[in-house]
Amino acid sequence: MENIRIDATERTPEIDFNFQKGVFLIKEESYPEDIIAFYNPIMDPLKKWLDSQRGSDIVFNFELIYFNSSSAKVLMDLFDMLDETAIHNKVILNWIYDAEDDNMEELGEDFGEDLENATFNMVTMVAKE
Amino acid sequence: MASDAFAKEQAILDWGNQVLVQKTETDDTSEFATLLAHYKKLLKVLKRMVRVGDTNENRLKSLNAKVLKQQLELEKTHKALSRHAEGLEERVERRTIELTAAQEKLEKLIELGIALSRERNLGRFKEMILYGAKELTNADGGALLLRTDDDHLQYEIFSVDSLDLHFGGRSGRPIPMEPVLLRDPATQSPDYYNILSHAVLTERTVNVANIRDSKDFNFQSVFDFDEENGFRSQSYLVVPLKPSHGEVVGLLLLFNARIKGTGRVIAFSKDMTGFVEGLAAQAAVALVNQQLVGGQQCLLDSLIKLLASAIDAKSPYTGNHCGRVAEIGDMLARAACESEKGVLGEFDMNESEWREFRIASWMHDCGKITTPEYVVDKATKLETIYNRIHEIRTRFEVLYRDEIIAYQKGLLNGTDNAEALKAKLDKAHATLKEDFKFIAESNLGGEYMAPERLERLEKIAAKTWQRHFDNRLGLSEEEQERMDGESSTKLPVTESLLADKSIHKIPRPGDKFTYDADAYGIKTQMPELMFDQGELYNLKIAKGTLTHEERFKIQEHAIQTIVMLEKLPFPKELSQVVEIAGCHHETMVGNGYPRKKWADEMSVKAKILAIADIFEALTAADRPYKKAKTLNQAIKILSFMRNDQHIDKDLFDLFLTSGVYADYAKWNLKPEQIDEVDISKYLSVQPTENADIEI
Repeated sequence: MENIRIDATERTPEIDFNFQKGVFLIKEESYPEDIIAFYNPIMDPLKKWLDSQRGSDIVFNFELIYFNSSSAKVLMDLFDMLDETAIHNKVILNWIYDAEDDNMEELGEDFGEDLENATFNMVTMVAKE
Repeated sequence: MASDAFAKEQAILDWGNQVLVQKTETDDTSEFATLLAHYKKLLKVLKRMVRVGDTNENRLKSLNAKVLKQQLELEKTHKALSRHAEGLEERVERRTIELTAAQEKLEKLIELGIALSRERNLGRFKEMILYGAKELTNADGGALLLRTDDDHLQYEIFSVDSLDLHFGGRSGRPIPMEPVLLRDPATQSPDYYNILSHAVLTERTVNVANIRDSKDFNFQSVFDFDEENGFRSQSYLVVPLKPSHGEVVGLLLLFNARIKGTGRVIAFSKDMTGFVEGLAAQAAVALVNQQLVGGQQCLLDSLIKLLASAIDAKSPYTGNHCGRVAEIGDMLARAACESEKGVLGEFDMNESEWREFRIASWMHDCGKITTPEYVVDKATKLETIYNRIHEIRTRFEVLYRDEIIAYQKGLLNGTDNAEALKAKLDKAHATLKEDFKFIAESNLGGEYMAPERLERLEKIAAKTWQRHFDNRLGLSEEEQERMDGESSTKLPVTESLLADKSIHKIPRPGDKFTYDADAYGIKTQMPELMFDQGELYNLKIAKGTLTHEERFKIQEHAIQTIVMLEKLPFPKELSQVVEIAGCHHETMVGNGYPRKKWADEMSVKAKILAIADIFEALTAADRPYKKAKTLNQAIKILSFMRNDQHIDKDLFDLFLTSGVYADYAKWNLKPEQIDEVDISKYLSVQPTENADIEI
């Protein structure tokens, strides 16, 4: 599987999916004009890959500052997907947020609540500069 | 768009519908459980979505509030910034105004300095200093005081604008203030309590913001002035006028500086003081220069008048000619300046032109200093500076004859025909007496020498007498030289009763005594001889008493005037003196002397002087060969000269219409000379009303 790397834009997050290492990153802000157009091309290969894994170490880092409601739905589906994958693999989700950003903290706690198989970590980050 | 994210949920819903349609084949309970599980999940997603929405809304709201707050702050900052910018603009504007004002003052100061150095009129000069300083400081009042020779401070000008009080200067009102004493007359101790004498004694500027708060000076006289005039003196500035070298020559006093526009009285600022001191320094230098120049001018004028009176004194007959010509010239020139119509409408004279004209008037006859008196006053044809040896010789001749007569008487004793002899003698004596009477009459020059008179003169001249003495004895070297033409013959010699001899012909001196006539533009023809004293030649003079040579000698004074004045280094503003003074015997048509000028070659001033000169000569009561003319006679002759274009017709008209002739006559002519003049008879342009009546 080929790695996916997309630089952040004003409305779309940075994407770094390293399938070889099993390390994934979604970073910055997400409120794309066309949610399907942005996420389908990356989520489809990701799902295919996750379904194919057995006994792998997978780390998924979320380092988001802001996301809209559509993006929230995509993230919830991704969480479900990862929790399912965690039945046969070792999956760690890291919810990285700014220590002063109460909103992101709350959302992270909410999103991680239902995970049954995967490991969920809330990771604070000292504000940049 | 958002629904697209729910593709999975949509798929379940579609499946549920399908189950309902095919209900027979399905296990209701398990299907329901599956849908319920999905519904539960959906509810959870929905709740989360709502939370995300709320979170985002909150976040949006707080961000919005933050933006608003920042916007407000930004606006506040912007306002403060623009206020600051406005203030800055205002300050720059104010500073610019101040700088412009300072620059204007500096320009004014420079302007004043230049004007001061140029001003020749002392009265205007003084006003320029005071009013210039008042303008610089916007002071309500001020005074200029000058230091006198006996060390007093004399008020020259005093002026308070708000009281409309102006003394001295050109206001014409005498200054009521007493001079300020620098020292006590009794003890000679300096008076430092008077602010004015203080400034002079210390040679320093004194600036008092409010004289009512001052303990340093005695301002009682100022308070008295205030009370008298309902005034309130407040700020005082006293600046001494001091040239860079030398002592204080005066003071500039300014009081009550005011804010421009409002009239509020303020103290004299440091800037103002600086400006006034600058002006005072320039004024002091200019004042000293003025005094020096004034002194020089006064000396020069005195020298000119001294020369003029020396010329007038050469002859008892010419009296005060130069002075009187200057007076008439002045009056006519003034009338010409005042006339606003006609050819003289544009004519005007500035101060230096007046000075030039007056010098020319006084100097116009300065060449006469070279004219021999016996020519100027030659009253009879035979008059000359005479070597009386000839007369003494004549007496010897007479004595000689007396001896012969006595001898003959002795011989004749007792002879007959005595009666016939007596008759002959009587007749001879009578003829001699008649002849002598004729000669004597001719000598006076009163009668025209008609051809028959000339014939008789020749006849008498042809009579002879015997000379027994040597006529070369007792002669000067020059006379000896002139005798060289005559052959010496053996005595006794038969001589003509009247003769023109070589000894009578006096040649011109060598080149070194003469001038280069061409170089001075002299066109009058110079006679070959300087003088011809020939007896017959002189007695033959047709009219008057002057020979051609003597007439030239007299006219030569105009040449000498030019030659002498050309040698004087007149400054540029007096450069026309020669032209004005040297043209007083020219005419309008090139037949005057010595340059034979035409009307367009002469200035108005020169033409004025020519009329003044002629009019004075005509009316002078002191000519040896003429009786003083009446006003009418003099003006009639002038009108003839006007007809001959010897004088300017417009100036002559002005001379009449302005009444200058009458004004002059009133003060300078004898009462018997002043008769009524009908000027309309003599004007070149006849008044139109008269012409109408005549038609």
